[in-house]
Amino acid sequence: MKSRSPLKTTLLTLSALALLSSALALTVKHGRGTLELAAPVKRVVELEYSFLDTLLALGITPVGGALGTQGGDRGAPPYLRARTANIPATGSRAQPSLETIAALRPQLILADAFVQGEIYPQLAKLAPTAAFQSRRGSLDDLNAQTLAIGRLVGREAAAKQVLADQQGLILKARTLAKKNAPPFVAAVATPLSLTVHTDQSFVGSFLEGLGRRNALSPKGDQTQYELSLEGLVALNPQILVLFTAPDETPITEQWKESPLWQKLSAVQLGRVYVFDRDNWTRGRGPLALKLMVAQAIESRLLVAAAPPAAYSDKK
Amino acid sequence: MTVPFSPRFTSARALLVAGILATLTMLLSVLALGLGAVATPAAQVWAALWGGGDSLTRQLVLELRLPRVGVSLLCGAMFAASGAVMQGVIRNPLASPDLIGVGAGAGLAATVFLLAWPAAPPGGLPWAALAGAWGGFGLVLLLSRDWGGADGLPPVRLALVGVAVSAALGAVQHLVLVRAPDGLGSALTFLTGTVYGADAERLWRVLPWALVLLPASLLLSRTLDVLNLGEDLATGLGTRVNPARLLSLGVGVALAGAAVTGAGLLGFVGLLAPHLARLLVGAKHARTLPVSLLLGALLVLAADTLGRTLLPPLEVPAGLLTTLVGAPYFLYLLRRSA
Repeated sequence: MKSRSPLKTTLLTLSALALLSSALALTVKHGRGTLELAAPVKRVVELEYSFLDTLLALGITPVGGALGTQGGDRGAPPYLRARTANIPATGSRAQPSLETIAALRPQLILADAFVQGEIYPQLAKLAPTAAFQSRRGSLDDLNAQTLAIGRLVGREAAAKQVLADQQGLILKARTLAKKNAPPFVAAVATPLSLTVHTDQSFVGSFLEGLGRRNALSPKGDQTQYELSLEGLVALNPQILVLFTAPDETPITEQWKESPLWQKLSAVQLGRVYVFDRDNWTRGRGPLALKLMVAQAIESRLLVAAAPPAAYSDKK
Repeated sequence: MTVPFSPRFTSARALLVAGILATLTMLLSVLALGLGAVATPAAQVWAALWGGGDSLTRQLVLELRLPRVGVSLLCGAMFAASGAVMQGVIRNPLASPDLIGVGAGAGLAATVFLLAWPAAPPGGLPWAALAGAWGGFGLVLLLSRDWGGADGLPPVRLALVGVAVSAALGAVQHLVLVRAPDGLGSALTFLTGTVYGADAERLWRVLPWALVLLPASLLLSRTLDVLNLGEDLATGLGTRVNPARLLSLGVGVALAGAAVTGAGLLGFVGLLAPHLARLLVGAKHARTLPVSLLLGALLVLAADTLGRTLLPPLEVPAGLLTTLVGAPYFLYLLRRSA
């Protein structure tokens, strides 16, 4: 063959171009469409703690974040506080300061599709914005987001590594889990309410990943919903996992005075486990996960044995 | 109303007051363009307004602050006009859009609209709110009508029924929100009374309504004066009372409905502004209405500017600040009229 046919040349050129463009342009699907970036970016503003955790796990420090501690926000989870002291705060998560974000000149904004859903158009005007289901997402959703964020900031290999390590850790922990243990009910207890996290929530699906069974599935499309003491008694779980904050008096402290609470199987069997809600339900990233696996083992939740004092609700 | 026509309220005085208020509003608008969570030097702001300046200042001033200032001014003026018109027609010092079912109806309709049609084009929301405002007000009208007599609308009953209907509609809105899929609650944060996140799009959504309805309310001032004389005297002067009332109320309701879609329920602006206006320039509507508009605009702009600059980067909702000022005044009015 002396010379290539014109058709072949065209095909080759086309496929080369396609390869080149797929290597150059970054496209990531998110809750509000598809985001296209010409190249990976470094200046990122995050508006939800899971993105902060993920970025730090990938070795990127965001240029700004919704780290305010006012207006119902509690700031970065304790395990991240040391690493976030120097990140400028952009106000609350519900109403981030658009001015502050604009002044940080971000190349990418990571937003929650639920919490910042309404102001997505305003954010997208400031910088390319990806809106992910973080607060209402499951472990699988959050893992997919780690991969997507990894691609956007040019750390795809690191993201894959983080996920592989995490998978290995979970599988290892899973071998410790007691088979056929009764299903659990997991709930966040604040001073005002008890919110159960179903098997489609982050923490609920995480514990299922560790080989334990969640007693609850979503109600309609709500992966997390409120429950009263009576509702809890009706479920009568043999294992109860509570997420509380050390600086708050959770509603369950009041409930403890009720005979109904004392009748709960989990209470009578001494299988009420207590974890820090900031670390367990707010971080929701690869760094939080490592901590959660360690605490799930340490608290003896995995083997369904009575918790040590540090994770018990008897203080 | 309670403030009599008196010789100390002259046209010259009204002009002077309006002039001062307009100047204050202008000054505060310029100030609001320069203030925010991010410091912008005055020279840069000035340059940005004339097309120069660096790109960040231009973005802050023209894309973020200017629409907010515009929406604050328009919605404040519309709430104030709505309150002035309604207080004139109902002849009750406590009448204001948030107290006679209009605001609550608009809020409920906006909620149901967003729930039933999440992908609706943005222009649809004002129409839904307007329909709701009419629905809420129609319900109040229907319930307060004296079916036996030929009186039409007894003012006191209208205000009382309005409060009850507002409460009921508010409860239904809460019920809808509780039953709604997750996420709609946050989609409605702006209905709680805040100018946060107002962009050019929202400004353009409100502007046509304001351009039609605000002048319309000013044109009504003579009708309102006549209605204010009481039913018998107004009829004696040759006014067809019920059509005139309906027309005025129609404008008042539409003003409130449009304002709700711009900034949510900004508490007590519709009550406070007309009262202050009457204290300043007397009860003649040709004077009260323009001064009310200016006061409403000034009040909401001041509240939003304060909210943006009080605890940056935190945003304090403007509705919270107007309610903080308005609620004590409302209580004072209640005590005085009791």
